[in-house]
Amino acid sequence: MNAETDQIQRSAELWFAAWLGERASCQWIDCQTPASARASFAQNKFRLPRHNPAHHRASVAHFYAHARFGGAPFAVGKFRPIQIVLTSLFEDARVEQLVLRERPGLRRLWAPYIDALHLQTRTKESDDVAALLRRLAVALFDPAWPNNNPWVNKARRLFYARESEWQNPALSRELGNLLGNDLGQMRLQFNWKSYVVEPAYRDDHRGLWIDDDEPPPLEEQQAGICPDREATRIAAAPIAGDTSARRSEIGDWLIAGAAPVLAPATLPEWDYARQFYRAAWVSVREQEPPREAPPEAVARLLEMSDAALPSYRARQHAANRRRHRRGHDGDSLDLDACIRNIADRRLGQHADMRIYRRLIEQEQPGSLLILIDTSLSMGAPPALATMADATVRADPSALDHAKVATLQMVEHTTRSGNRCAIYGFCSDGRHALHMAPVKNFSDNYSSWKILTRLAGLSAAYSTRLGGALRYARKLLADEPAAAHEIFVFTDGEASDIDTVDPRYLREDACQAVHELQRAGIEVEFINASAPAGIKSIKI
Amino acid sequence: MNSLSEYLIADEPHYYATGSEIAVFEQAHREKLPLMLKGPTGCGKTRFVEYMAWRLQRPLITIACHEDMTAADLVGRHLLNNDGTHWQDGPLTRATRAGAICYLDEIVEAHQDTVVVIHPLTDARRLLPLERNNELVHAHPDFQLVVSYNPGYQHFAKQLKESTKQRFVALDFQWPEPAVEAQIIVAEADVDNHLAETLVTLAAHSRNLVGKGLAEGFSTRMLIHAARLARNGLGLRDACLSALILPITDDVTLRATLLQLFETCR
Repeated sequence: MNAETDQIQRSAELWFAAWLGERASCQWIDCQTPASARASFAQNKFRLPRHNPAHHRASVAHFYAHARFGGAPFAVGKFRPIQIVLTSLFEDARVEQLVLRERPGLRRLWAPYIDALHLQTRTKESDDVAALLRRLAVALFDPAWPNNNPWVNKARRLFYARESEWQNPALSRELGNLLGNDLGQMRLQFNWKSYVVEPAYRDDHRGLWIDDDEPPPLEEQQAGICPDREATRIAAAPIAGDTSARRSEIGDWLIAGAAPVLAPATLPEWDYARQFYRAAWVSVREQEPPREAPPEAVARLLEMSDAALPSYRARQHAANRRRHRRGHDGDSLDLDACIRNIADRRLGQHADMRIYRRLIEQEQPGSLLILIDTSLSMGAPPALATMADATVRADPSALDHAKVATLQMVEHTTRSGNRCAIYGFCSDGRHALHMAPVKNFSDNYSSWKILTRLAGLSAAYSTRLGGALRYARKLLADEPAAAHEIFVFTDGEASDIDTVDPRYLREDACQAVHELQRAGIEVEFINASAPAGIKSIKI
Repeated sequence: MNSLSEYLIADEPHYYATGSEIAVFEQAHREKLPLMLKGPTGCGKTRFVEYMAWRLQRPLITIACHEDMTAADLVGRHLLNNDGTHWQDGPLTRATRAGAICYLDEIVEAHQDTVVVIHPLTDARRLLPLERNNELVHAHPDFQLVVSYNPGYQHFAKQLKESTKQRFVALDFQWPEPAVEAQIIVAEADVDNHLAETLVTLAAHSRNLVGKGLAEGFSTRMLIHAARLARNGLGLRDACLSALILPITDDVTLRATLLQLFETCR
């Protein structure tokens, strides 16, 4: 990703966060046909096409309209595709008109897209269904738009005549049903497979529908289902007899929206036996930030942070303080300076009034990246060898110790004016090096938020250490600070399911460390599984 | 006896109560209990303390805490003169002797080692030992300690010690509801409700950006500043730029985002 794309993406993410806050998450999708790619949402997860940066702001504001005034997903029931499309168009118009009452400035954001569509309807005068739908989109957005198609005029008249009912999403369904029947009687053909939602900033409508008469269970609604899970559930739902083909078509449409093409980053890996780098060998899957942990897990970490490593904080605190003498103010009088002051005065000379002393903090500006090994072996308590032992005893795991030490390190680092990022990592073969961002350098999270996210990291899979270190180097590349440092909390066992030779990943990790050292990046490994607690280790 | 009359607040500060905070403060004062105010910056904590000091007719000594603040800055220190040294009371000692309300603003900015100096003052003893002066100061019956801090953006190290926290009665301040916040802006800046609502809407967006480049969203205080600029003829866009967007971030992308958000608010 180049710097310009990075900037556009960040700008869109800020815009998204400003409108939808923490209740929603934003994901980027790489589409094979950018021109027809549309934004999409399911529950509180929103996806934006990476290749259409011009539409991002308008799309997010449209998402907001749905989030602000939308209701529960419409059940497909016995609806035909044209009725689904029409209902969705009315729903788009309904939520947009409602949000425009509160935020009239949004008209300036959306109007250029409507104007472009307007132009399209004039240059491509046609009465096929796709053209009618484009006209309808313009007519519903702009009640004053001159139009001579009776069906479009009827739709607009009905929509605006019932303005007092706009708060009720059922209105969209009712109008979609009615106008769909009208189109059916006009014997017009509608090719749903080639249909693309217009104007281009609007979502693909999949998030408005659920292919089931039953509403989703309450706990799923509250938790927010991920699109893949939802799609699986829809696909598994029973389909009624004579409508099975139609429902299958609708099911396919819903599922297609849940499978974005994501391009993972790749990294090289060092093969010590052949003495060369395997190019693009490891695929990185940057995950979403860990879910914030339940209160009891957070409380447990908090308790550990107060009790388990008290000396760590004290040592760091003492190491970074120094006594400052001869100050104009301070904690206490500096006896030597006072004596000199009195003696000078008695001699009739100029007396130096810098007679105080105090302890001050030293600053060490730099960027620190903390990597936490979240492989399965980190889930065992430090003194125990296996997970089987861990199930018998409820001692804190090596991962718990790593989380607490990370927390204390972040507190100290950021307090000294340094920048800090935290990533959890584990691997499931070379095709899946999972990197979980707890905190990025630019995130200015509170300690509480970091704590709850750390608590949400869980142990799974294996340790592809070299890949994690190389990815860390990429993350540090854009950091402005002069000093870069990586801290790795691990149990020191580089291994993965697709490597038999125990030396292979260990040698790759050593090679990655040499690469970092040559780049001027310091690396320190902390053994989180040492029986006596956290200890530095050499690799 | 120090009268501290210059620390008395003569005119009633404007304060919009949003809950039972006035009753809690009055009861705590009556029972000689120290009080902790939590909440984001600019949400009205300091105004509330000023209002209560006026209401209770007690002098108010405010100390803005910072990282370099030491115990000596609070309790006092020896100064040097021609005859040798003499003791100079710090603001906390002055408040303790004279029965003032001592307000430690953003207490967690001070080192934990500094904060422990308040411990004997905040339990049943209500004493302030001045070790360097070999003196034990008994708190005046009307003395009350009030501290504030913002739990939102503080580092983990800047949490209060458990032994400190558990000495206080606490009040939690949050951003007022949008309608209430608009009323506060109308009252403080003498502007119309529509302008106030526009500012509150923009503030809601900025508060969504906490952790995404902003440490805090626009505070009520900032909104009042913007409204006051706009009241006197400055365009609302320029007022928002100068009072809200430019002070809160140097990030060019973030500034552009906030400005575009402003454009959607009207």
